Amino acid sequence: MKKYTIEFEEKNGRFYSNEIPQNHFFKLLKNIKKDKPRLITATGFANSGGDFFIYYHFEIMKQIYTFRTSLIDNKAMTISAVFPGASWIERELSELYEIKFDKKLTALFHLN
Amino acid sequence: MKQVKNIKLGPKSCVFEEPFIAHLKTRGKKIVGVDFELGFLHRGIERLATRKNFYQNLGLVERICGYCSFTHSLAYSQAVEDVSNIKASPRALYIRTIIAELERLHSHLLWLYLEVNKIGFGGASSYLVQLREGILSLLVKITGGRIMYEINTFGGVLKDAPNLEDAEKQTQVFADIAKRLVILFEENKAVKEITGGKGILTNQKAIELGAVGPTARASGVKIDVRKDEPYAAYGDLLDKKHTILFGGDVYSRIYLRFIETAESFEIIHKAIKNIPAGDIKLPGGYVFVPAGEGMGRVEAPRGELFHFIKTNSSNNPMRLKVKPPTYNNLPAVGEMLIGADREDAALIISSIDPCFSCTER
Repeated sequence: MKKYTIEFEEKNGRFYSNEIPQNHFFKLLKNIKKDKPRLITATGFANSGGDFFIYYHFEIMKQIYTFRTSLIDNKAMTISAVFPGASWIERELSELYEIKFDKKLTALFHLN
Repeated sequence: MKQVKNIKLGPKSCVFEEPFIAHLKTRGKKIVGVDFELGFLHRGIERLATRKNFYQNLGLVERICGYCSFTHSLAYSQAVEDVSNIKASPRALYIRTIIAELERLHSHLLWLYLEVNKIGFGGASSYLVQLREGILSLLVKITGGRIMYEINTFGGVLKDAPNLEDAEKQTQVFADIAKRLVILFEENKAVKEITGGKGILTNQKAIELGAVGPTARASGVKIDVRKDEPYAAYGDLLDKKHTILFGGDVYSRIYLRFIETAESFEIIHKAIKNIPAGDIKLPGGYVFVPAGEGMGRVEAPRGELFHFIKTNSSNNPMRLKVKPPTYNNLPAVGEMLIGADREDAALIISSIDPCFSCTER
């Protein structure tokens, strides 16, 4: 299935995106926001090769969408400007995975 | 202009059941800033889960929390079933529903007992704690455990519930007591005076901050996993109508839980009436978990509980993420406290029924 210009794989009524770079996900965030999503949570994951990923789980129109985003140099952009509840989730991600959330990077996308 | 003072509540406080610190900034009597400090109960359960096999984790996730042990194992089982593309047997789904509702009852009743004691509504508190004791003895009869049940497995449950007729008779008596307690609560004007208009969370803020469960429903947000994405046997037993209140204050949050207590009894009656005969688990026993991703969503007593699992066809999960409901509700507490009197801080914080064992896992 294609939504927000990216491919999703459907499994048991839930939608999982292919791997997308974090900056690409941020470009999509404005479109996603129009559908009034609810951020369920974000999951940090490090594979055996030392690559870091963040899975963003959203409830959009009573359906669950998971966006798999890849990070470069352990740097991520904060989404707490769009979803104020995300600040707690990001705090935990930075404590457990040492992911650095950069507000300057986020400001580039004028999310406010 | 009055000076800003810092007040520290916790980590050990007689009004809270679990250790945490609330840093309050006050100007005069009013609270102007809030921050929470957690970390006293962190056990590293998500990390530990990656070192144990899928079946060992069923016991591990039950130990995240004592109030909602069954819902944790239910969400985890659903996540593994999602990855493995298996479905639990119909009878097992009904047994899961009955135990999940009994657990909601014992959690709600304990919280109500503690909360009404804080506001001096002692008349109801003794009934509430006795009612909870009755629910716990019922859980012992059905599962064999008061708090830890360990009856969930992938594709069903490990233990059948043979004497459900007796359980139905008992729950009918409990349901009558619960209905009378709701009337007792509604008629008490002192409770409304103490709790009404305090710790207000508006509908817009509840949505913005992502509040879940009774905290969000007391602010008029239609959110309930049992109705939005029915799991277990809820699809057969519930309609799509949400039970919500619009006050958004402490009174609404207490009142809603009283209403939900009465509703849970109705769900249990319906489930016992309609439970199908048949196997309680899949034939064959051991479930092979393939590589992939899966999730389990459950409406725990405090709100949406979410388990996300990533597997690589080995015996252990690569990652288990547990998102408890209090995690979503904590940012909303900050909003409730700003502008409130500092004397009401403990009442407002406890009004979301915070569970820090779940939150810190």
